[in-house]
Amino acid sequence: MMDVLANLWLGLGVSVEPMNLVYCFLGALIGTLIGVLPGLGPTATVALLLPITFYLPPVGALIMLAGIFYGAQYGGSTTAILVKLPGESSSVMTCLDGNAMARQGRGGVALATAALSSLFAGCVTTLVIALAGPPLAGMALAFGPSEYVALMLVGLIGAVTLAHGSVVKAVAMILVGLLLSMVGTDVNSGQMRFTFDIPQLYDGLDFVPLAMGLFGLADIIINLEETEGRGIDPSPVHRLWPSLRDFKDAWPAAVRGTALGALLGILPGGGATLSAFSSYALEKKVARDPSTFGKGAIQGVAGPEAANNAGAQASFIPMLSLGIPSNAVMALMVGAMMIHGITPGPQIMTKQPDLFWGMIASMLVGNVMLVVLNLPLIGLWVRLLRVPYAYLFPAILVFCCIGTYSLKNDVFDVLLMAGFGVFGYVLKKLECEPAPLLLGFVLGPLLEENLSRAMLLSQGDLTVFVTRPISAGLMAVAVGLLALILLPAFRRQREVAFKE
Amino acid sequence: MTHTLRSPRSAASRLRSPQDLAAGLLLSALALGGLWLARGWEAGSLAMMQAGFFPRLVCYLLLAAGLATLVRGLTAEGPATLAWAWRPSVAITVAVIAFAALLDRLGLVLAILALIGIGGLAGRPLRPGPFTALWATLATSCIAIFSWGLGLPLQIWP
Repeated sequence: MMDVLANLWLGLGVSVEPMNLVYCFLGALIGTLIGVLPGLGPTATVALLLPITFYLPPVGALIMLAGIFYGAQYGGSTTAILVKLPGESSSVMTCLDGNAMARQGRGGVALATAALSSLFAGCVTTLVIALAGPPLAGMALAFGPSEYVALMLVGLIGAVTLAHGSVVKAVAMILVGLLLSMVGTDVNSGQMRFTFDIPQLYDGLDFVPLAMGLFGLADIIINLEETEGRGIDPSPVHRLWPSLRDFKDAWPAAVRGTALGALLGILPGGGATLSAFSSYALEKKVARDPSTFGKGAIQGVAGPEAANNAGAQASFIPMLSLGIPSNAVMALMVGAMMIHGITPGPQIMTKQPDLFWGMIASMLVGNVMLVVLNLPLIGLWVRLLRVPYAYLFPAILVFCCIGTYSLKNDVFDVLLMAGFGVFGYVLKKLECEPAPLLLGFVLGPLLEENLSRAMLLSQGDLTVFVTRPISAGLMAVAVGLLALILLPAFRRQREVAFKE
Repeated sequence: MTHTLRSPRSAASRLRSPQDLAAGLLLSALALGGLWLARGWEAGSLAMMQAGFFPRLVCYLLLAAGLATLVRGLTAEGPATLAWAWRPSVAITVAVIAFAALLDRLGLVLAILALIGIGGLAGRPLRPGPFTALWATLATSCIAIFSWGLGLPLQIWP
């Protein structure tokens, strides 16, 4: 315990350095600014803003990215509440009661509840990360290649469980991601794979054009198709502060949501969405009058908001300590770390303690900053929501293009992004989710390397995955998850949950 | 084509789920393409994997998933519409390609003009006044952030 406090203290020292505070502030501000724009979810926001962090020192860049992530998450709940547009599946639950509250003129209260629940959840979860990260990383040091393969399988199958729609298509999307990750020169043999003799592809596909095309450009096309370029009308905001009664109703829900989120977020493939769904279900179960849900119950905002924030933040645990991203946003974070020459995994905690603990402490700072920043600025965000899409999407377009170009000063990446934009639109039309693809893309090289190493060590004996205890345990989890997906009862519930 | 697919389904002879069918075809095509490209790469054995092993493994699995989706498209009921929004998809793509083509030749300011000019056709085009204002704002802020702020070697004027 003392260790944790000492480490957090070290981290706080790093995160309150003036420049890092500035990065954190800027990240949270820009993150909210972009995240609040309708039709841009947290994944798209982080993808869009990745390039501006490339020029910062690694610690600053990660702190800023984390800030962007919280900001985007918070901005997402603002759009969910005021215009019933969830940027991402994790804020779908907030839409239900949050927007109902807004339509009753209690939008300000809903926003404040969301902000305060998120703050509470964020602070608690930061402590959980500080406590759970090091032991997990210690365990990870005992991991051999077969354990890593098993762990990645758990993560990938977890991602499938949470994708919308067909399970087979989600698996296929992971496989397409793996396929894309092979583009480039094979490190072991020097064999060129899927490069089509294009020199720019010899080093592999870049992450930024892929993510920006799939999430930025494709989203623009889809939004234009769905709204035909029309704007949307947000609900007005009157009173901001929750009354004493609201507060009394909301806080137990926020506590339960935080606990659920912190627990479920640690699971590979878990994270924000699952946490928010479970929290909403739980609140509805324990409520004295479940019929108020969907009609503006404040618990229906406080619980899921706390849960999705806790879950989103807890998903940093497997990412930082094991190097395994559990969702698309974490995959983006891993991509960003790699660009800075940092390989996420158990080593960073010991080799770069200032980076690791600085980032964790900055989560605390970032969460506080977010609330301080957002409550006074809600009026501004609401006005931003009114910006017509006809102005908005050209701006996003310009930012996508120049952001991608800035990566290597090469227009090839911009063309690549255009291609992935069309591909992303095709996938959307065929109801294939791009998020598992991104996860597969990031995990691909790691999976191939560890699979071949595990097989080399065991001389081609596949039983190695079930004879080593940790790997066997992880495999059991993977099989359990698969069985869960195939169970009819769970399937039905999953469909219902995504429909709502 | 889209018209017949969109009309209410009555006859059993019609495709049950064109969406799944198309997804299955696309996935299978990707898998077969990957296998064809990987045909010359050595696969090695399980104990000594070579460059061709993982691609083949992934492609075979992808083929299986593609065929499963294909079969479901033929047998199970599913969403029928396959409407494609030509205007936004083509306008956005052409706009980005134009930006890429012009950036190194004519500089950032004109490339942005092409990007938002062509891209604007994807939605409801702005009137000349607001359009010019948007162009000026975007060009200035891009130059400020990327050229002055981040020190990117950008060609700004032709």
